[in-house]
Amino acid sequence: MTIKKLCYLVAMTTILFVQEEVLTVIPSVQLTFFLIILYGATVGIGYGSIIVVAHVLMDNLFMGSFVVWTIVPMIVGYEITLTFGYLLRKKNEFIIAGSGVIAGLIYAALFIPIGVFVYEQKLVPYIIADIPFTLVLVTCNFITIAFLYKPMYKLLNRLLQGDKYVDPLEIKDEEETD
Amino acid sequence: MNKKNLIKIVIALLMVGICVLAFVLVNYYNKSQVKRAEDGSIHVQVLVIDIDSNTLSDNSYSTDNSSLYDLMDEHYTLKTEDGTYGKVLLGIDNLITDFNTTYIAIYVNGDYANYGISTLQISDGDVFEFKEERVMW
Repeated sequence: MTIKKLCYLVAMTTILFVQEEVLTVIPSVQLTFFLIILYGATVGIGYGSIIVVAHVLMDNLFMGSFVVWTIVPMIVGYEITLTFGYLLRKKNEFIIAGSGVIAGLIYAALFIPIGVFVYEQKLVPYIIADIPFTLVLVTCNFITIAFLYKPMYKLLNRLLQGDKYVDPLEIKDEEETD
Repeated sequence: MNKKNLIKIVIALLMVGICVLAFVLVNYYNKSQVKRAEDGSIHVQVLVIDIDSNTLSDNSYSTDNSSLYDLMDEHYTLKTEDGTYGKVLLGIDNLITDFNTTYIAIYVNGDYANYGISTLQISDGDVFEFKEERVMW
């Protein structure tokens, strides 16, 4: 771990946290899943987990929801997302965008037991109420990943690897393929 | 524009359309759950309970409007703030909460409400309890 890499990790954590808080005003619209998949693809699961845990703790401290039944599902959901990002990093962007959709669905499902057992809400009405917001979440995931993943993956790898940079996707520029 | 980008845009537009449809359907479903008396009016009971379980207010109302927020706004002095998912209820008359230590939980016929005050619909015979409770999160 170099100082430079540490600074990049801090910047990545900051971006993840700040965008989530700024976009809180629009329900379920966020770049969080896109960024976590990107971070899993570029820095791996180890460093990515540090970013995820730091983000979850800061987010819950900031929002005043610092309880185990909020923190645990968030960490589990984001770790699954991170793993998708790492395992599928060189796949077609449609596959990665699809994994973002699945990660969003898993994340939403992780909070169902919390709603039912902690807040004592009825299962079916809870799920019905949550469907539109979950759909917005997965749509946002798909759109952000499908359009932003490839260019951001190349950019972040270029920043992290510096002089040793090799195009990770070995894909030519758009102009050459048209 | 190449073929891949076109496919992405089509899928994205389809997903946005599904989201809009979902909101419309859930809204229609909630409105369809509203039950009215034979004369078309809705009779409900509203209780306001503080943190010590004292009933501060117990009233019955009759209305044509199925919005809980409109009913409460008509009969009580409400303190609310705009939240991500609609209005957040912070106070009813003299019962004021700060949302840090206590908040006002809404129960519909004994069950914890799935929606906030600005989204909840009322049905004939419903009993609404606005209980001050300690913040768990």
